[in-house]
Order: sequence, then structure tokens, then C-alpha cells
Amino acid sequence: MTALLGNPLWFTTRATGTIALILLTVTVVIGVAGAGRYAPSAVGRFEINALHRNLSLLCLALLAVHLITTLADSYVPIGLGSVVVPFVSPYRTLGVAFGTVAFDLMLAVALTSAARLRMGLRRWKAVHYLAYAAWPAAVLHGFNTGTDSKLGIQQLLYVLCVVCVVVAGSWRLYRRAAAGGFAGGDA
Amino acid sequence: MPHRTTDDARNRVDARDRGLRRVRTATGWITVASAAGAVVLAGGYAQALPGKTSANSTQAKAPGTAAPATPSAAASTGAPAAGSSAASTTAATQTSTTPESAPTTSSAPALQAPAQAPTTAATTAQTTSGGS
Repeated sequence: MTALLGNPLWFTTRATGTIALILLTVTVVIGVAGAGRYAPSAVGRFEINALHRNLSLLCLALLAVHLITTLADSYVPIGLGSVVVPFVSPYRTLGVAFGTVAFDLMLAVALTSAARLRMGLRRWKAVHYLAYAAWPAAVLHGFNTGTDSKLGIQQLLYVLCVVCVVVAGSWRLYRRAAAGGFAGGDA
Repeated sequence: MPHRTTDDARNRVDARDRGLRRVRTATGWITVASAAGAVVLAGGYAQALPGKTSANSTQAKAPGTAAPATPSAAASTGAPAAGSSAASTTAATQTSTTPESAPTTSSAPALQAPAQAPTTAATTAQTTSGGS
């Protein structure tokens, strides 16, 4: 605990990063398996969509804390440019770049979702599919950059996240095949 | 039948209200769980990967060994380090031991220079480290 009190920013960065990854995984799972026309009949479709939106906003909030504490902590030389421009961080360039790409994509998805009615459903959906790229980038960022990745329980967490998304994707493909259509659903 | 239509509409509104309430409750609980999880995780990380103590650092490395000055060197050891050459040069000239973590406020028998740009906190004594 002395270490935590000695450098709270560093440990906050790591903890919020992990929680944000979990929230992003849950958001993706809900979006893949439950949103749109694949919503289960027992729950209102608007409930799932609202939960999907709320969780993504919560994930972004945690991501903001993750970024702020990273920038505020002088322990690693990560500048403001590294937040939005990939491959400019001198610290673990590739791993940080994965996180930058994930953040950029999530930001694009969030902004276009806020302006969904203005930009039209088709364009919004095209941008929303970027979330599928943001999630693996976030996982790779955590695995490559997270200094806790050497912990067995942390590796188990990554595996669980991957399994959840794979199962959700399989469920969606199964539902789509069962419905007999191949028209795209919501991301 | 207008009476029945009114009842149906009221039922739909009630169902919608119930759904919104469920979403609000679920979001609230998830927010609380996330905050609590972040605190618990931070404590867990601090306990599981506290970094090296000063004793470990001095035993593990020979005197005069330079701190990991580059990010790649830090990455190989799992410890964040300053990427600028100026910072690493400063750190290397300040000490012969190699701390791999952020400065802490706890007291220690020996002073260690952090592997980062010197700050006001870097002048404090330290035993354990927060970085990994």
C-alpha cells in the first residue's frame, strides 16, 4: 500500500485502464449480441441500446481519467501528442500506439453517435463499425503496454475479454444464420 | 374502443418507465462497481507489483550500473523510464543504483535516483517503488 500512496497516479492509470477495457468489452458484447434487431424479446430493445450507450460513455469517462493520470504522471515520457497521434510516444511506441488508435476510433464512434440523427443511419453505421477495430487495439494496448500483463490474473482477464467477444460474435452469426438473412444489424 | 386504447397506451408508458428505471439502476450499479473496482485494482497492483526495494536493487545490480535510460530498456524490465536522454543522463549521474519505479514518500536507509526526469519528489528517500 506504501507503493500506492507513493505514486497514486501510476497505479490509477493502470487500474482505470483495466476497468476501461472491461467496460469496453461489455459494451462491445452488448452491441454485438444484444443490440439492434438481435435484442432478446424478454428485455426492451431500447433498454439494451440505452445500457450500451451508457456503458460506452462510462468507458470514455474512465478513459479520460486514464489519459489524464498518464499525462500528469511524469514517470513515463508520454506527451499530449501521443494521446491522439500514434507512434510518437518514446515509451513503448507500439503498445502506446495501439492505445492511441483505440482511443481515436472510440472518439470517432462516440462523436458520430452523438450526431447520428444529423449524419444519417447508414453513415453512422459505417463509422460505428470502427468499434470492432477499437476493441482489439485496446486489448493489444493493454497486453503490450500494461506492466501488469505479466501477472497471471491479468492475462486471465485478457483471455476472458477475448472469449466474451468471440462468444458474442458467434451468437450473432448464429442468430443471423437462423434468421436466414445477411442484412447488417447494428454494430 | 377508446377506453381500451387508453389502457394500452398507459401500459406501454408504464413498461417504458420500468425499462428506463432498470437501465438507470443498472448504470448506477455498474458505475459504482467500476469505481470500486478501480480502487481495488490499484491496491492490488501496488501489492502485486510494488517494484523493487532499495535492497533488491543494490543486490541485483552491480554498483555503477546505469538505469534503464531508454523506453525499450525499461520495457524489457517492465519498468517505465524516462525517454529523454537528458533525464536519463541526470539520473545516471545522480546514483549508482537502479530504481525501477516511481519515487515514494516512505523513508529508506539509502537514497535512490529515479529513472525519470528529476522532480521535487525525486529528491525524497525511497525504499519501494510504484512502477513496474
